[in-house]
Amino acid sequence: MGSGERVGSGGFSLGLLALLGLNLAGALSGCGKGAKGDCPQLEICGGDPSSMTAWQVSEVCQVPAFRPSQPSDVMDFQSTPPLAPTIATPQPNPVVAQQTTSGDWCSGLVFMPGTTGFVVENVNLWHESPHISGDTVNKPSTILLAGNDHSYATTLHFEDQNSTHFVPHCLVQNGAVGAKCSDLASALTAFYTTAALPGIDPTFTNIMCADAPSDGGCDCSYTFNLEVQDQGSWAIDPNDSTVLVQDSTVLQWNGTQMNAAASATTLRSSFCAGNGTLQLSGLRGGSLSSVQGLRTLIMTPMR
Amino acid sequence: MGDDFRRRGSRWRRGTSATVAITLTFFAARAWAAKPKPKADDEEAARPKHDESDEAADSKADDAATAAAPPAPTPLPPAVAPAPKGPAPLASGEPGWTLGFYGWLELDALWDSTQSFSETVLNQNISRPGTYAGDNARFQATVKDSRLGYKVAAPNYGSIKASAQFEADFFGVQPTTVTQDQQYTYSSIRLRHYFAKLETPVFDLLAGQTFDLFGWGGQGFFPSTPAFLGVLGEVFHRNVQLRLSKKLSGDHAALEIAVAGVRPATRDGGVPDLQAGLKLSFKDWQGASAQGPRPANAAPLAIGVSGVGRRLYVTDFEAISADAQKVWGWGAVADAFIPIIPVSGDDLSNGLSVTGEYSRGTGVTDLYLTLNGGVLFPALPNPKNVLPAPAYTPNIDNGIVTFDANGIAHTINWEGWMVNAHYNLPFNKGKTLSVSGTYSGIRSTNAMALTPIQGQPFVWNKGQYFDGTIWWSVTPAFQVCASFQTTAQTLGAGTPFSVVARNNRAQGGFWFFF
Repeated sequence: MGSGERVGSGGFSLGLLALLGLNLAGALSGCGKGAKGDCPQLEICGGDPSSMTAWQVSEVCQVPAFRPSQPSDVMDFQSTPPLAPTIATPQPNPVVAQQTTSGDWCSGLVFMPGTTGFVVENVNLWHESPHISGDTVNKPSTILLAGNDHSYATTLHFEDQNSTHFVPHCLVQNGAVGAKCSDLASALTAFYTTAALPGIDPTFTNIMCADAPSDGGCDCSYTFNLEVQDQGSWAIDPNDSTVLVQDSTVLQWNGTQMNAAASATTLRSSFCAGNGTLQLSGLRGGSLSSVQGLRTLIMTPMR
Repeated sequence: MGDDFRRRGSRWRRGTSATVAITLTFFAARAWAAKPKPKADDEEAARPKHDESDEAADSKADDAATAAAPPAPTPLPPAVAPAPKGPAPLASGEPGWTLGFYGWLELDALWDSTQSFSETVLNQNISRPGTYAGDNARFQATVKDSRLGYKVAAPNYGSIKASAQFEADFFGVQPTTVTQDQQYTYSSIRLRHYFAKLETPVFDLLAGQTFDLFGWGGQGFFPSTPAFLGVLGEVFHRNVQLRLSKKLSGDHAALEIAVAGVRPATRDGGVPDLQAGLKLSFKDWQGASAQGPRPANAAPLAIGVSGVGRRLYVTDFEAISADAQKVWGWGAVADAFIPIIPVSGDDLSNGLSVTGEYSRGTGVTDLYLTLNGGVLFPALPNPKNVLPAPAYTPNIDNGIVTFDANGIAHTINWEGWMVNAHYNLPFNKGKTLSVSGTYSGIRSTNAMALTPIQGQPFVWNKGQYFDGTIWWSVTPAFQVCASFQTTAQTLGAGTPFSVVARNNRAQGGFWFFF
């Protein structure tokens, strides 16, 4: 449960440093946090996590996650692929093995005249690592662990407010001469609405653009939305009754199948079920539901 | 964009080249005029005997000189003694020549709270908290900082002294395919110093690679620390250079002025960087000076100022560039070594000294070792969504220059500072136990503004460093230390997603000096 790894790494350095007579270093080596960031370790006791009604997330601990390296191809920056719940990464330089760019000043914007106004044909709006939505009524995050067939269904809603500045030449480089910032906002909204699947919120909503007094460009603010659907079967680890094992067969980000992007199809988490709560912690500091940076959840029965 | 200054650049380049040529010619003429009329024996003695390439080029001349000038029958003073005949290598004990080895063997045991670094911390980027590398510890042991060097001095040629120095450590670049075992035990050699020096009554000439004049590297302004130099925010760099200097020394003070032409940060600029410095020292005010891991010695109070100017021709921000963009880089640094509690003679007891540095510049990021702050070049616009996307190929290292949203090149600004204190405890003339501490920092005023928002979370524009060390010289030749060092970098400072990444390092060091 995280502690095993911490003791392992700390003990290793402590032993060697003690061997070298470095008391100062030895004292410090016990300070390792494992891979859990600043999230506290939840209670781990096992129990029966199944329930007739879904568990609803009441408390969460996330660390701002980013992908360990830039993606190796530029497909992530084309059209409207499902976006990872991490800090958006800079666009890669495709001709070097070690990625070396700090991103595109225009965020990939293709803003041009259309038949009935201005249209956006491509853009990569930047976003931070999103947080689980606080809107528990319209966007509840839940987990249902069925006791009869051992199936499970997880729904997590993430969102975050972000903004991007577009300099003037980004706005006109594709011929959108005379366009106003409100035109850009409308075109961006249409771009993401068109790309959204039925019944799923567009990836970016509440898009508003205003004149930037600094350079005459546009400052655009928006909400980043990500709905994670995770389904499969669950079991208790026969070797450790405090470990919940989930075989994730369906993983969707905003309705698009993303199993290939998941860090693992077999999810393992430490848990404690009892007294009307379910506490989940990613095993050894791992992530829950393949959402990087999502460390712990405390849930209560959904009402 | 920028066509006008690009065109002016070629004219400037011609003008600069002419100026450099005239300057060198002037100094060469002065040197020739000041050189005493050589005797036949002097000419023989001055001829290098250990350089095979020179010898091959001059073999006929050497043969003729050898046949015409047999050794003098009576011994001459060593300063003008004839060199022996025969090919290289230079043999130990040859008349008039001096050759000495020096160096140390070093073991460093390093524990880090993150997995951000190999052996050296310097100004490298710390892994973000919340990541595996940012949250987990690492232990390393290395001998790569061990040194081996030699100094060679030729027989004096009248009043002119010629000498050379070589020094290497084992931090050479290793292939990316190296295994962890190989990385620490199959170390490759790295050239630190390799230069020749000519000392004349008029001026001194240094040609080769050594510390930059910018920051007066190696001249007594390094902090006392076992951390691999330079510490965060400290000017520290070696480079290939041609340096002219003049030292004016009186009974109580000495003044040294120097100017150097240095290998430029971008070779495509067409001209060398120019560095200049002035150093003033006061001989009557001595303090205990410990440079890096070396034990302290008495050294005079000293103040140094230096500067660098450079012209950077950067490939235009296009997939296929035509003209370059020209930007100017400059830097200024002030250094001081101040004995707070002076020492006298050989006794360093209770000696307390402070070393300080303040630097400021733009487009000189490379002079702070491994610094780039995470600043990279932006991706080229790809408005038509072509695949593969167009890529920019820079002709300069990352972090010195980047492009704004309009494709205009800008230099990155950095401001650094460093203060180090060193105290020798009053045992065994202050040469057994000592303590030291360092505080340093660095910040940039435009690193964030010159980075697109996608890259801003990965840029740190503010950093701080502290260390504290206890030193014990078990014998004059064998030293150990225990040190704690902490480095913090603020990623995305001034933005809503700002986060501080920190690495704590505990270091145990063992040295055998020879």
